[in-house]
Amino acid sequence: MEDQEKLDQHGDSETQENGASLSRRTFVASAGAAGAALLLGQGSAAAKGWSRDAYNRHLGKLALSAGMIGGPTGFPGASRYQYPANSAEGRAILGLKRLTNNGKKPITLSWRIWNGAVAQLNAPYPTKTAPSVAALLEKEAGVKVKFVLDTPDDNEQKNLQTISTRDGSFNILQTDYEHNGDYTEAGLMLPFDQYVAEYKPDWSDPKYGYAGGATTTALFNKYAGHYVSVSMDGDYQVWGYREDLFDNAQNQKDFKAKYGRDLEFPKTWDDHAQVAEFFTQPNNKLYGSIDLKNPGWGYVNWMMRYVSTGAPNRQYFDPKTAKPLIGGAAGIKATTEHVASMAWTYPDTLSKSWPEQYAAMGAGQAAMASMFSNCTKFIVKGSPLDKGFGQYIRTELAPGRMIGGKLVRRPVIYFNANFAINAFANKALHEAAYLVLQYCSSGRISAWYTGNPAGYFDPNRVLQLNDPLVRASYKPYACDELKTIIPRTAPSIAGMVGAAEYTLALDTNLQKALSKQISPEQAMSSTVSAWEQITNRHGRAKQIKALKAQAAAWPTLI
Amino acid sequence: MSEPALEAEGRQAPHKRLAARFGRSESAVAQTLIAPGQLLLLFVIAFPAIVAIYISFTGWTPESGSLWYQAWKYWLWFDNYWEALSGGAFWHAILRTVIITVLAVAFEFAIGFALALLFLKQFRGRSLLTVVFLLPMMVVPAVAGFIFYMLFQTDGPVNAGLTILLHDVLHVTGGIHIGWLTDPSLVIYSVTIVDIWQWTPLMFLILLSGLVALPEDQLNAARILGASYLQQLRYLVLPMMKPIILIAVIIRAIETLKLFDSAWLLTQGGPGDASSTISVYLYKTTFIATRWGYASAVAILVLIFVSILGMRAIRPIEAATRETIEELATAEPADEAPSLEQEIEAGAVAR
Repeated sequence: MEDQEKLDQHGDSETQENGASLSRRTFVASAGAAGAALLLGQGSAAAKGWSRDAYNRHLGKLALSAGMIGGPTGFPGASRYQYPANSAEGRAILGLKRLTNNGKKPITLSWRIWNGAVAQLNAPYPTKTAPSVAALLEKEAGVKVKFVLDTPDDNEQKNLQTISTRDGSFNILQTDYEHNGDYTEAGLMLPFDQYVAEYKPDWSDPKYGYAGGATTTALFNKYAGHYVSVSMDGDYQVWGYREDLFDNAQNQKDFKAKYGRDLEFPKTWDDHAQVAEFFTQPNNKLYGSIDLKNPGWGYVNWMMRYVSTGAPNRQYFDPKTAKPLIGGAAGIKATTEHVASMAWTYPDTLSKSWPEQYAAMGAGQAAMASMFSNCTKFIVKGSPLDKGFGQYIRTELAPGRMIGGKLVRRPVIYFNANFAINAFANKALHEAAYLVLQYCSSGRISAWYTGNPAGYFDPNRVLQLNDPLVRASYKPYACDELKTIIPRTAPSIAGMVGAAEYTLALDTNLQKALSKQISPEQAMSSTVSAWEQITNRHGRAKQIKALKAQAAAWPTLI
Repeated sequence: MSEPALEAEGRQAPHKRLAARFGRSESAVAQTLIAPGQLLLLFVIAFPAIVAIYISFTGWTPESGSLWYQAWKYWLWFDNYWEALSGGAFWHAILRTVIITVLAVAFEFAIGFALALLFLKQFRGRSLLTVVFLLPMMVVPAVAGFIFYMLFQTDGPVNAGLTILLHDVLHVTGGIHIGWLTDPSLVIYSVTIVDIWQWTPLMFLILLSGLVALPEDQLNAARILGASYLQQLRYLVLPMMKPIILIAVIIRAIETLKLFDSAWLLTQGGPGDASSTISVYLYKTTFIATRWGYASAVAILVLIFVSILGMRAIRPIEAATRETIEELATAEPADEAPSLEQEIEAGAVAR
């Protein structure tokens, strides 16, 4: 039998040809499970009248593929997420099994996580009979994870409380990549270079790693050159647009007549202004471009305009001096454009956030918007966000600028669900916490749960973007576009102490400019002044060091 | 059992027995017994204040990597206070908060008092209406914020209502598109309206309680003597209600000075910082910018300002209380019952 043959292939030997190891305990457990499945399967096969071949294929789904030491089973395609010993997942599981003495001394880890993300780890997927990531961890390594929920809104407060009280009750903490600097300097995030060296995660691996390779690893997981957190998300900003509007023959004709060129998704910010203007028809409740402009969220749209003013990009600070670079012509130009874009957006844009934006796109009220990559996952037929227009939403790389004959298009990433080892937690469990993070952030396992529409971990790897489950959730056209977007994405203000404070100063001044309280020049000048105060307070030398280390996170691909 | 009763039974009160047993005075025993409670109270009130004052002189933040008691490593003396007092953001936040407080409390008092006067009279459905008027106060502030967030949309019901009013009553064409949440010159009034909607019922409740408790004989006497309603209100009701009005106004003013929920939920203090009250400013400084030393200094300054205002506001109540005490002290003993002769004499005179 196919199933038995597979088990036989693993045989008595604990080490396979490809380096995969299989403990006797695992073998016995697998054999037991297979035996039980055989009995159940026989009954069900008889009941359903299956052929022997179909019955064998069914059983095959319940077992690991040849050479694999672990991974989910029990659903079609499960073998894609199974792993050999010589893989990031395999090394993590074997390390955890060593720590739990092959499950004889179970470990329980407490993990604080956003409530909107947890289902991707603790709910069975893709079928109800499939395991969850957490269940698999417990089954394979004897590591039980206790999830404690918080929200993106109160996460910062919770982490500050943890720092103030030296609270070690959580082994793994929810953070975002922008706080890597602050939390590491505060002693909250445990740097874990030694574990990375020992267990070799696949974050920068060309096949299994982040789509941007080492650049993305530096962006997400490092501060001042050290590994401090683990990203399991991809909050990349994509530009969603209504394909039906762009493909409409009358629109194409009218646009050409008005602007003398073909209607297509804008490649430059100047093009974007024209297209947005063309589609803005408030009387028909249609707006050209409803990219966010509200407090705490809208600044990313200024960043996309600003970063693309330089080739290969323009940074916010001079890494040599930590002096702000936004006060010059580039910053004023980006701010002036950002303010001008108020003409093409919907009313109350200064107080509307992404839920309203997603609803407006789903209701067909806008031609374009800068959105999270999950827009094609959440605005789908049958979802409350869709009013019949979700099917027309396509995604594109952010517009950019022609610089030196090259078109520089720079999306920006912000927030992004990251996780860190709580340095105040029980030291004996630090290694286990790291291994759980390596396991959950590994290529195969993350490809498995990223497709789950129950949460908001978005894709960040090519492997995920090619995965059938992820492509079914995010739509093939959006996944293919993300392969172009991710390696070109620039960071927000991150990787330095005080990142949130710098961002707050920028955001407040941009808000003032957008509401015409001050001019773009004044907005940039006030921000520069505030940034200098922040830099002086934290220490210029420390910031220069962080900025130089952060240089590796800036994309050079045009 | 009372002390005399215990002594009548030949037993001593517990504190006397303890005093006798340990050879201490009664007052020493009493002080010892209440000391744990006093220490707890001191800890609850004084300790956070001392920590805040200490931190306000430093540049400490949880993210500095040191525990709060090591904040002395980041000692700045009065830099935080100077930065607050010499910078625009703090004063602007104070000014916005004061404007909201003055407007909100004035409207809450005016509406609450008018409603309380109306509800003094019995009418059909009075009980039901009382409950209805109190409902906003029972709504969770976060829910109130979201309700008004929806109402104040440019395409929302408030502007729609105003447009209908403009068309049907004033016969003017054109729609109303007021940016209640986005116009920096309007947004603090939107926040004020939410506060008025939610907290007028409290003012109404306090003032109604006060009005109900007014001595009816004096009001009846004034009525018999021919005082008009407005005269009664001006010369009797308002003077007698003065302490209650002051208490209601002070409670609401102190609460409004701390206003956070509606400002945060409607606009997050924006656009820019156009609706940033002192609480929103403190929240952003503490939890986004994580400048705990500076935030503590601002909090201490606000506490000083509010305390000064509070003390000044409370003076009339103290004066009124002092007058009452003095009147009571100089008044004839009330418990001297008239003698039978006096009663007969009084009865004869009356006859």
